[in-house]
Amino acid sequence: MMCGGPSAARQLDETETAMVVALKGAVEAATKETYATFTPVAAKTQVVAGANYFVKIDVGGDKQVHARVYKAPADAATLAGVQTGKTSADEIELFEPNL
Amino acid sequence: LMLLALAASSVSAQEFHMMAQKVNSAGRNWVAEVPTRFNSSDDVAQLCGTWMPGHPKYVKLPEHPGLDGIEVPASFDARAQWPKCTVIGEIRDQSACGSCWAFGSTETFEDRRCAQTGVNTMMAAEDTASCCSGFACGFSQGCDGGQPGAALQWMTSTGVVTGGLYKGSGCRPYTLAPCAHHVPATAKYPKCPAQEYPTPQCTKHCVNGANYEQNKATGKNAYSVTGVTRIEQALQKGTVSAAFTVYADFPTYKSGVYKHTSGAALGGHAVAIIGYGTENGEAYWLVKNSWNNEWGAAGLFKILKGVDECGIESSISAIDF
Repeated sequence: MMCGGPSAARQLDETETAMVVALKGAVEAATKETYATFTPVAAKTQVVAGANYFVKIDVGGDKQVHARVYKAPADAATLAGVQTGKTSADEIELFEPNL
Repeated sequence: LMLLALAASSVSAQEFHMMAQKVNSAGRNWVAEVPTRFNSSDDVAQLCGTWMPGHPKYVKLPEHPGLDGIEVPASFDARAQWPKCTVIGEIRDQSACGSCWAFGSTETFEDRRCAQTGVNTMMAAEDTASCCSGFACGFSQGCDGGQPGAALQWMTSTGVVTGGLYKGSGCRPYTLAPCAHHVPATAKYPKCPAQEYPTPQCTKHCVNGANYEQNKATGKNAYSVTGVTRIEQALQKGTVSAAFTVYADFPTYKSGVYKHTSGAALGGHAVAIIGYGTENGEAYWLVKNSWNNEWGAAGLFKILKGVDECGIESSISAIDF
């Protein structure tokens, strides 16, 4: 088993989607933009002390933002990184924190 | 259903429906449903941390031939069995890095080394996470994941140096700071920084002035262990490395015997099994996590034993001295 490695990309469930949507303000602050559309479409996950989520977020007009989110076991999720300039054609990959 | 799916080499969506029907009509006390997010079992194998048993890159060590005949007690706790081996009770913190595979394997190395030779010294998860890579380590990739069995194999050839917790003693103590993976943050564990950490570099240098090469310790042989009784037998000579699939409900564990009840699979995780027993009629494995000692039950958890819960009995490995 590739322990601690990334999962395949998958859709987020309701709880996970809400967790990412709650970080909309943090993503906007990090990218210095505001988004009328903010829809998590897919993610890869990784078990660390808790979990990292690498999320493809549809921000409208075929533009996507990739977000790196750290979810501590019993704490609220925090934004750890963003990548902009993505489209629906771009696969989500692991990337280093950059905030 | 996950297990059935994994047992087959490739299962189509239609076959998922048939399996679910079979499970539900068999009158078991659990219910199967057709998963909505899998098109085939290939997707399931991917979800559980990429390289599960059955994946071409999964490294399975040969089985240990000499476990038969070892008598096992009804319950067992390695900490009580070897009270002088305080390393067994040490709870570590991997931080926000996917280095669980280096922790599970390094803990098994130091625990079994102490149980079998009496040397009570913490070894460096830092050294394993950063230096065990490439073909010799099942293509493990530091903070991006790895294979505990392959790491134990690497420890029989290359070996691992000493090193404790963050700012601890030894040649290469862990360099990623522990932090509160839970609320509230405490004096001992400050809030985790949003800025996380890159994989530590393989420096081949001891921070305590010791000679790196001379500091390396090796094991004699590494092996796989398959089957509940054999796992119990292997535990009579120290703790064992295990890997399992973490679901979204696992991080909230506090006490009792964990069974997956809700949430999506997040990925593969490696830990060390340190004992077993029975609680309220349920058999469990006693397991050491590496999410610091404020997580779970003082850093430990119990998980249902005997049914390969979340794959916990499917990739057990150990090392002897």
